[in-house]
Amino acid sequence: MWLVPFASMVVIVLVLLRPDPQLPIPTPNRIVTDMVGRTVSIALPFKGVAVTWAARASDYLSDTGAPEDIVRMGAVKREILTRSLLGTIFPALLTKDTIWDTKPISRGRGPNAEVEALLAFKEASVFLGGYRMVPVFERVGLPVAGLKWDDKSNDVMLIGLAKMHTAISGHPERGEVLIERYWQAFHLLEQELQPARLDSQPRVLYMSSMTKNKRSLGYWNRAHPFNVYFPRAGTENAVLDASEMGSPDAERILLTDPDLILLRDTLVIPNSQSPAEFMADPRWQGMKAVAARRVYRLPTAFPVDMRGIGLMPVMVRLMAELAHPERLRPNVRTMLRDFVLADFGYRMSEDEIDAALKLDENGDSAGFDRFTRDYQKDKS
Amino acid sequence: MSDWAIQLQDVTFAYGTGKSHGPWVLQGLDARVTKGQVFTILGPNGRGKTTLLHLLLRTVQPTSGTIQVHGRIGFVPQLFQVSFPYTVLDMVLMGRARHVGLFSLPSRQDEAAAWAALERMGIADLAARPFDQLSGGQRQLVIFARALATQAEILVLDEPTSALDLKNQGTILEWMARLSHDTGLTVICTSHHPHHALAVADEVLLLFGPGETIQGPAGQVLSEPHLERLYGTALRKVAFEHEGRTVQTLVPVYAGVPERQPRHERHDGLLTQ
Amino acid sequence: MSDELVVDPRTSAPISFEPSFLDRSGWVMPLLLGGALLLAMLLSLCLGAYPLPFLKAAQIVGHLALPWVLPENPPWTVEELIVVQVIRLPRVLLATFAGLALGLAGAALQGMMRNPLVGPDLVGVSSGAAFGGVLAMLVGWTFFGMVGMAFAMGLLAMACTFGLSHLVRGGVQTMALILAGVFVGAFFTALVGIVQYVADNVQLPGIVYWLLGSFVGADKGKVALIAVPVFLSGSILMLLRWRLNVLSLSDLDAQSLGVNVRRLRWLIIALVSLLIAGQVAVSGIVGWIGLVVPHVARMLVGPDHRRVLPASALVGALFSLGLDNIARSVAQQEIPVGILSALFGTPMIAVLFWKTQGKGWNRE
Repeated sequence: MWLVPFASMVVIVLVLLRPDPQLPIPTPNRIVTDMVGRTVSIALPFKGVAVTWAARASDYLSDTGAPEDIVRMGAVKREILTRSLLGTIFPALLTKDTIWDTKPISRGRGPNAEVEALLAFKEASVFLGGYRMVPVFERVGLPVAGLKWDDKSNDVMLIGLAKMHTAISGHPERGEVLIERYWQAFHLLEQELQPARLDSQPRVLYMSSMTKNKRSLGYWNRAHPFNVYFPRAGTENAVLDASEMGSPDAERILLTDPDLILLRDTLVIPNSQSPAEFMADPRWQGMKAVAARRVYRLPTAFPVDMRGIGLMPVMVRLMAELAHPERLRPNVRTMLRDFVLADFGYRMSEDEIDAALKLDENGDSAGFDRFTRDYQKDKS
Repeated sequence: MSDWAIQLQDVTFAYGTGKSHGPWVLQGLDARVTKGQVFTILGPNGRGKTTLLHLLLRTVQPTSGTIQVHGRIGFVPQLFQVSFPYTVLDMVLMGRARHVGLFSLPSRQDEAAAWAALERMGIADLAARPFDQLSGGQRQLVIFARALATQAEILVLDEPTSALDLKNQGTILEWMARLSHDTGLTVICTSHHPHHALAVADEVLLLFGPGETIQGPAGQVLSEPHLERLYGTALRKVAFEHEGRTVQTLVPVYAGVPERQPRHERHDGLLTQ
Repeated sequence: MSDELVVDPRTSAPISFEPSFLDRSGWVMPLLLGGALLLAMLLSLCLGAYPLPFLKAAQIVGHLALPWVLPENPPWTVEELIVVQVIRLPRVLLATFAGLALGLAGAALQGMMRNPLVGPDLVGVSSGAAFGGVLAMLVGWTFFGMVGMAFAMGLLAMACTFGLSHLVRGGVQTMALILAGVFVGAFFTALVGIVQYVADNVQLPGIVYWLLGSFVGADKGKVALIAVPVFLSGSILMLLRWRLNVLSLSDLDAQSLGVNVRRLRWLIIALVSLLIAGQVAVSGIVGWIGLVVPHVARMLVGPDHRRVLPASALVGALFSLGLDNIARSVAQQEIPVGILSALFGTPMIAVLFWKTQGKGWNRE
């Protein structure tokens, strides 16, 4: 008698030997190759993109300049976008409530738990998601473009993202333009800076200054994809460590003793120390950069919400100008204004540029006045 | 067909192996148990009673010497408690383990054998009761039944009367005698009570120490000098008439206990000093 | 209870065979528990974000389970079929099999160790298997490589527990065993910690979530991963279940009844390790079910392992399925089942401990 329940278990398990049902491939469709190297068939007419976990709507926005594509946004908080440059450029996004109704693609539950909700979600033609969740989507046959975040070079990632995003939105030619301008900007910087002829390369510590709670002190070490930008700015990463270690302690930071310190933006790290607080913190008093007051807050525009291929060269230019003020003419304001205008057709006002460059926070830091709007007028 | 059930020849045993073994427990032990008899092993603690049982059950091997067993042994361990409240029938059924294949359940025949054993012990009405709710005497009978269910020809009992009250001790002794006389089972038991041996045993083995043993008919071997040497305390053999039959028993003297002062009887009938 | 013999040994009158309540329930309980489990599985198939009525779910499963080709124009949509066949059924089966494995392993361990206070997580086998699992994750082994590693380490942990308890005072003893289990469990948990420390940032979140115990990410492969060990070792355990009765007596007693105690014990240890390895490989450490469920089973069918083992398996499956349903439906964010099982299991075991004190628990 006891055998009966177990025998029925066997029968039920055998159900799984049946071939999996698949959602039919949509026709007509647009074929896109994603960053993982898969082909994705996107149903036409194009209904839009749902941005899920581990993908950033801001990347898609800055790469495509097409806010109308986005039907759901999972991984960007509304208030972060409100305070960011993208929020200024695309104000309509902030008021469109349906985009922010993230129930089916909220961050916490993950794709495994919510795969059913995704199946029931019919408003998007394609999902954007980190490549680890691709198998989950594939299991049920949902169209997903997979992103890959673990490349060692940020160049590869940005180019891959730009290609994929612009292909999804149906304007791959825009991607080509962005990639070309990206390389050209670095080429121009190299010509002006001549990094090969520098006698010294200032050592830069690029850290997320989540230091108010005195615990988390993340920095970019040599294993970080952004490491490729240090030599282009004529600098050296002050962190020698190339392991995957995430959180160094305060002593390790002291040991790096860099020539200048760049603090990450406050948008995603609300508890971060401002440059003034950092320079007043007794822990950091022995550091060369603090003595020279070369501690800076990075601009709002990057790398957080516009870390895409468009504005990254502006960030590297800013780093280069801070490290080598004598060799480079001040060009950051112009670059920012021109790039934003080219990419989004939006003309930034002088006040908006001031805010984006965080002039208020960087007031006490040495040499940041070259980014003020009147800097050249004073000189001339 | 020989008339003995168990034969030990020159059996020597010590715990541990090789040269680093412990002290000898048994040395050059010769013993022979006749079929259908009650055979009692007597000796103070630590003289190898339990070891001898383990040797018979083959849970330990002798260091040297041979042990021959004719017939299947059924073991009745000392009173024990079970971790799970099995029913009496379940307990008796376990006696069939030798007859049930490793990967099988007991068959109807096995269950019938268990019932038969229960009925033979007269406790079939206890079958559905949880074993751990029975009294000590009842539990001992269940274990007897279990040993019967193994279809054993030799019952080996480890101190079957210890932990029982007087009445139940008597019942167990009765059963030992009955099983041996009525059905020809060989019954081997250890005991701390020489008067129990005198009451039921046909043969007795006294374990004085390694290499020193005496075996013989109960009436001869259980003599006052032997027992005094065995236990280091004096016993008297007494005989008296009871309901028309002569009863022989052994009584300890307890010579070390000081003689009691006479007590005065109080007028309310209670004793006082 | 008076310490008197109820029967006179001289009169052994034949007594008619009267089946007890438990004998009569010989067919009631299996059907009851089996039916409850099937019903629970069906109900679980209706639970989730995609709306699916009970009848439709039953219809789909019915069609799937019958050995015929699915209808050309089915009364269900592809999405509904996907939800049942690809998403929910694997998860339901995973929870069911994990419960089966834990219930079986718990009942077998308690019987073998003569101690109702042990469970797979308490004798260290779960921690050992978890260590094997994370080790396999670290070196990149998947599927049966992972189960194999978990099995090997679980077996090692069990051997350590037994070895240690033997060292204390020759023979397997209750307290010594529990303490040894705690020591061995702590040691292997520390080893798991070391692997976590060594693992890189990419692997770490996966390992941590897996360790908490969860049925998230169920698919065919995972079901196979646990179904094979459960069927393999479960069927052997079921065949051995009456022997467990005999083994649950003392060593000497079982030996004298003709049981090869050593061999049987190691066989059961290996089978239990395999069960737990399969369970841990798919769902991480899920504690307490293996300890609580055999008690519930014993309340339902009595102490005989012939009934306790299958009943414990079914109750375990019901328990685990229920916990998983709570885990995936109650909170906004999915709660790992390992947390829930401890949350529900510990009060239950406390109540059982209080209710049954003096019934074989507190004595040696």
